[in-house]
This record gives sequence, structure tokens and C-alpha cells, in this order.
Amino acid sequence: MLLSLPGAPRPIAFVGGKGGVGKTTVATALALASAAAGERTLLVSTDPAHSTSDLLGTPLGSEPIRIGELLDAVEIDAEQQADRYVAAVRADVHRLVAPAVRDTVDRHLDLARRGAGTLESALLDRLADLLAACPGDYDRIVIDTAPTGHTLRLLAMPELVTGWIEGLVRQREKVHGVDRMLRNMAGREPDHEDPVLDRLRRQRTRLRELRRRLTEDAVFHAVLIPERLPIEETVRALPAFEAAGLTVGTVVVNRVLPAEADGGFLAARREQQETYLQELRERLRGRRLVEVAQQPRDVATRGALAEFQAQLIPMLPAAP
Amino acid sequence: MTEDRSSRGRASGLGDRTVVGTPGEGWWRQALAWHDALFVTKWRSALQREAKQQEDTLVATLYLSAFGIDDPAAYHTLPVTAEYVDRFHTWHRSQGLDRFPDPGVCC
Repeated sequence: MLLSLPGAPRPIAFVGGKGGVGKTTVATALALASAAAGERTLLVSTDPAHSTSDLLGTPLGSEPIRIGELLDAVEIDAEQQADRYVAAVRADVHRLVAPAVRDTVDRHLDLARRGAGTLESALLDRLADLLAACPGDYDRIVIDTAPTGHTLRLLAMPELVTGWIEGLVRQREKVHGVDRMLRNMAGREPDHEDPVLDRLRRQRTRLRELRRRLTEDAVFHAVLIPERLPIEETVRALPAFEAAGLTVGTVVVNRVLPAEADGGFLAARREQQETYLQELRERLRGRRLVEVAQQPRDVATRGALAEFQAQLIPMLPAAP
Repeated sequence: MTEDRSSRGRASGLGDRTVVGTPGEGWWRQALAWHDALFVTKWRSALQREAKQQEDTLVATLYLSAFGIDDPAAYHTLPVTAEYVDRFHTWHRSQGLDRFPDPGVCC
């Protein structure tokens, strides 16, 4: 699949929304629909509550496993990713510093491990690795993100971070440049590699690549239900995503009570719902909308998913 | 009249240094020594000061979080902050530890 052609469908799909609107269901069903359409698909769950594995009825791990025809699934365990990363850094740095200093290093690493942005960064780090498997191993990757506010910070982060690291790289290059001049003057050997500069440059490259993939190869689908708060949140969030350079795909209006839902109670609900649907269609005019009917029973099994996924076919781009 | 080679070295004002080898070679070594004393040493010190200052700037930038400035890149620069932290730690202790009651960097 030639993904770099203009107009080619974007292979990375994020499915986001407030907690409880059904994004796990939508993401899973979208992945199933994608696999059914003949695309090698990977479903990535970022939810620490294991909702995706509950829905599929299959335990998922931190490495992709085959869960169906042309479909693999994986969970990102941010805590595990953070532990592994900190352990690797500890080993590296202990080799470089004097033994007397190792305690200070360990204290710093403990504090960093427990720091505010660490889990989000670890998640993004692991995600970067998984995204690299497309287009090689997968034609499409579907990611079930956490609720909207967190998602935006998560996706905006590469841009913040590359700017910061850029400054550090330039500063370190100055240090290294002066050091090299000193060595040349002293007639010493030409400069050995600077591992600190190498590390900074590698992180910069990694983050640039992630941002490139998110802006060029990714599409963001939003899930909401026809109710006040989800509508407000979604209407605010979408322009913010676009301002951050991300592409918005389909807005999935979930749990729409069908006309057959009868009885006085449901009639009142459907009337309120109709008002919200009108408002939603108006305020999100210009966006692609898919309205998904609520089922008589919870979508909690593979069988129910199969019916649900049929409603999501409009979300898949037309085959090239 | 043959000149005493060793006295030539003394006569140049470089102390008791005895110049050995051929006359040309001896003159060249003296010239290098003068050049080093007058120019290179000063330049080298200036460069060393510059290197120290650049490194100090790098260290200060790395530990902005100790001054309450949020660092979104902390995870990615962890190998660098971990490597430099003892230098930062020594420095802030020399400034008086009580100025950084909770830096969350090394203490």
C-alpha cells in the first residue's frame, strides 16, 4: 500500500472521547471492520483498566498477539514501560559516573520515575515503537486513547518536547565544539564520540519522527453520545486538535436510541435526543458524522461486536 | 669563532634550559616556547573558561525543574539529567541547601 501518495488513506486511527461514551467498543469494532475489509490491522489499547481485553474476552499483553483473521491486539502498560526505561538509563549512567555519585543518580531516577509526566511520556514512547510497525507489518493501526483532555496533551507533547530538546542539543553542541578546539590545540586525539550529545540527538530524531507520523499518517475520530456535556467537550476539542496539526476524521455519535425503542419513558428520551442530535449536526456541520444505533443489549461479546462493526464501515476510507 | 651552543639558550632568557641538537632545531624549540607562553596559553585559558560556561548553561537548563519550571522533556532527557545531577547537587549545596527545600531533582 503506497501510503505516501497524496489522498492515500491515513493508516493510523486514534479513537478518542470522554469516559463512558463507548470509545473502547468503537475502536475495537473499527479494528474488526478493518481486518474484515482485508487490511492487516493492529488494535492498541492504552486503557489501564483492560476494557479492550474484557470486551474481546481475551487477555492481552504488552506484545501484540493474534486475536482474529488479519487482526492483532496489544495493551500498552505505561508503568512497565516507565520501569524498563528507567532501569536502562540507570545501567547506562552508572557506567559513566564515579561510584561515589551513584546514590545521587539513583535518588534522581526515583524522583523522576514518580514525576508527573512520566507515565504519559512512557505511553507515548511505547506507542512510537508500535507505530513503526506500520506499514511494514500492519496496514492499519487503531488506537483506543484515554479521554479527550489527556489525549490532546498526549498528542501535543511531541511538539513541546522537540523544542525543548532542540535547545539542549544546541547548547551541548557548543560545549562539544569548544572542547574539540581545546583538544586540537593540545595536540590530543581528535574528539571521541560524545555520548550525551548522541543521546539527545537520538531522542530528538525519535520525537520528530513521532510528530511527523501523527501529523501526516494519523486521523483522529471522536466518539460522543447525544448529551449536553459530551457535545460541549467535542465541539471545543476538535478545533484544538486541528490547531495542533492533527487531522480529524469521523465523529461517531454513539448509543442513538432507535425509533423502535418504545414506551413513554423512551419516547421522552428520544424526544430529548432528537434535540441534541439536531444541535450536534448543526454545531459539527462540515464534519463527517456516523450515527450508531443503540442495541437492545450491551455490546459485550464478539457476536454483538460483529453487528456493531457493520455500522462503522463508512469510517473506513474507500480502498485506493 | 665557534659559539657555545648551550650559552645561546641561556642568553635568550629562558633560564637554565640547555638547547641540544643542531642550531636550527634549538632555535625552533625556543620560538615555539615563546609563542606558547605569549599566545596559546592565554587562548587556551579563555577556551577553558568558555567550555566551563557553556557546560554550566547546559546544567542550569537541565535542572529548571528544580526552580519550579515544568519540563515536558524530562522523560527524554533523563539519561543526561542523571549523568549531570551530581554536579548540580554539589553546586546547590554550595549555595546553601535550604534554598532548595524540595527541588525534586536530587534531594
